[in-house]
Amino acid sequence: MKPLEMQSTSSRRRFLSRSALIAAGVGIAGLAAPQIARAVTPALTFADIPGTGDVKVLNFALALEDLEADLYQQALMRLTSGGTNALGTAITGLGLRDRDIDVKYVSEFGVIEQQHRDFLRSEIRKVATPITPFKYNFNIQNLNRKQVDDLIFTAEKTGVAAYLGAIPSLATRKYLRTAGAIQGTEARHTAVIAAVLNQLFREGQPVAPLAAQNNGIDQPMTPDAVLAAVSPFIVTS
Amino acid sequence: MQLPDFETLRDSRPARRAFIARMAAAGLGVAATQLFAAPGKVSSRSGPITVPDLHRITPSNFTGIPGRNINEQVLNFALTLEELEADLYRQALNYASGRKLRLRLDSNPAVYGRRVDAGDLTSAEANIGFVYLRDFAYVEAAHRDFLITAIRAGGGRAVHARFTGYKFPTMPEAKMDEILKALLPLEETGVRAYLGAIRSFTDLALAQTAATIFSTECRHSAAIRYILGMGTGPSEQPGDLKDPVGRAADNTFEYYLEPQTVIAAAQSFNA
Repeated sequence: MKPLEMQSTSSRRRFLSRSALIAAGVGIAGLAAPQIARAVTPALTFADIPGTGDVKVLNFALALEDLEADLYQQALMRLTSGGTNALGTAITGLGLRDRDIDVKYVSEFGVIEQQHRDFLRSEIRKVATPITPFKYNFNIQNLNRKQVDDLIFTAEKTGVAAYLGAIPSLATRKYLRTAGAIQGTEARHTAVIAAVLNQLFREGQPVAPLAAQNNGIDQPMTPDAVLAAVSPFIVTS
Repeated sequence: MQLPDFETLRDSRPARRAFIARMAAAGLGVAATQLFAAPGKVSSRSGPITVPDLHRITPSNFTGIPGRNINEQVLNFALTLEELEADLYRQALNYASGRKLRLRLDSNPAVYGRRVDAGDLTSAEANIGFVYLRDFAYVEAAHRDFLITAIRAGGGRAVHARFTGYKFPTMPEAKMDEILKALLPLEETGVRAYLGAIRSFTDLALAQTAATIFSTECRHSAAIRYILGMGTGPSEQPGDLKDPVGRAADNTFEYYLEPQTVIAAAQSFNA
């Protein structure tokens, strides 16, 4: 795994010491063995995200969009005709078709997440170094259809909360509207995936917070809480 | 959840403390505390914004909207829209339930049931659409009440609903799909309004509060579109502004409107 583009000495030191431990463990396991993907531990924190101020928040958003883009790609493989993910793991497809409602939206939303990712990367590049992409293990090859759809729903919900939770970490208003312009689409995706889950699996998920749930308002998650939630899927090898 | 009234929050420190605690549990504690700041004083953990912005927002963007400072004006701008949305959702819910339009939103959701034809929807889709209508009616009322209490708790003056009330420009046919189609512009305008106003906040905690409401407006729009068999959105409408400029595709980023455009557009819903 390529090292993160660190801008802070302390975060670089923390990452390198963590990587050294992981590499040593793999080495001891077997010199001729294929590389084993292990979840990054301890969980990433906001301090690990490169940059300061607005750039740090943009890199945080980029990390999440990169994860979502990869998840959607793997989910589409799993739901349809299969494939191989970036870790080299073979994913057997479940044989669903484009006309299946979850496939339709996984395909459509996956393209949008890629566009978000690419936009953030190009925007950061104008002023700083974008975070180096991670690789992800969602264990998707072992998930059934509903579990795949549930994972997508959880990822989108987390994205909604993540953008909201990152707002106080901005240094200026410069990217506030742009971040909102992205976050709004994540919220739309969340509602639609909930509707799809209800349609396919009779879930009864509210498509949006009810009045009795926090006054019908979406809740923010702090960047540290978000990174703790997604770190189990982020792997090093 | 019943929100405390203004007098209780003004006079009772325990009630005010409980309100802040409740908002803190929702991740909005800083915003809630901020709303109790003395007039003209804006401070938060994240600090007031002092770096010059590219896009200068002035109080004139909210002409006619009361507020002792720009933050309060933006909150009242949001409240203006929520008053409108809450009332039209109430009317739509009564209409779809075969009740008189003027009836207040009942505290018991069970009194509502679909009494209109499905229209071009299947019966199952119409039933789901009705559930959305009912749930969203209570949510918009909750948004309105949340903003009223928050503005008053900070010592500000919350705008009132129009004395003469609100109306749909054209009353929809008594069909579930037509009623949802009539509500969709409210949600889509709400999305654009919040996004267009958010950079006017000088305090990020309050911007976060507004964004949490904006987020649900987006969800509502998408859910209604889903039932109507439309794309998830967003999709560009005449007059929409874009951020970022040079965006990739139609539904990749939300669109926004300037506050004065929204204020003008809202006139068509005035009774």
